[in-house]
Amino acid sequence: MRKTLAHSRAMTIASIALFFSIVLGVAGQLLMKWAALRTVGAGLGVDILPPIALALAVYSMGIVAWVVALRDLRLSIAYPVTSLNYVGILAGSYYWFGEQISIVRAGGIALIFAGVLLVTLFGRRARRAQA
Amino acid sequence: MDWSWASLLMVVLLGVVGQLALKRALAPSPARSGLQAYVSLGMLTWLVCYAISTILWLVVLRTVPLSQAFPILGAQFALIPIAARQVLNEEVAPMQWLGITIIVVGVALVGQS
Repeated sequence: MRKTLAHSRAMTIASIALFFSIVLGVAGQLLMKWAALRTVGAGLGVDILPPIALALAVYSMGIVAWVVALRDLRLSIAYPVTSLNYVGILAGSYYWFGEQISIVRAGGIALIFAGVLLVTLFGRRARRAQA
Repeated sequence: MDWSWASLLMVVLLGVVGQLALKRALAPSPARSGLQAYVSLGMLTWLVCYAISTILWLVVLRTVPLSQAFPILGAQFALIPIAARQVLNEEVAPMQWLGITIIVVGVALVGQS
């Protein structure tokens, strides 16, 4: 009985970590885009540093959350969820930076993610870990 | 001159180099143990690659749309298995070759969009 409770708790924590890895990863990338845009025409003044530092901090926390999630979640479960990174970045880029996203770009992104899934999940090491 | 696309290529390459250095550094080795296993040339290489690529990434994002630049980073996943095969003697599964091909097509499409 205790073993099952401990397992569900670990799964809950891992799922929450996975969720945050996506949110923080997307936020971190959007913040980096924002920070980069602010450097345009601004020269190398010190005030370009805080946005960059914020972006890196948020992004790093996302990486930590991903590592935490992977301690208890199988990669074959966790990795497909990272497709939401692409969705979030597409939505954020369109909404906050007015980027035009053509069908060709969206299609290319879908292909890239499909390819990344195949490479990541069909590696020999991945198969061994799932056995 | 616009260094953005050259920088994006460098970010991809540095990601591959750093990842391979990290893999090799973390591989179990009888020569290093304990703390020594973490502080090594491989780890240093990874750290340096990570730091430089972060700076270059900002250069890229000044002009290249995020919705275009970010997916192109996926090219790393196409290059890493190939490089690992050469440098670390890792096998590349058939499905991975398929994945690599699909990534290349996708990157070409996104690069053109």
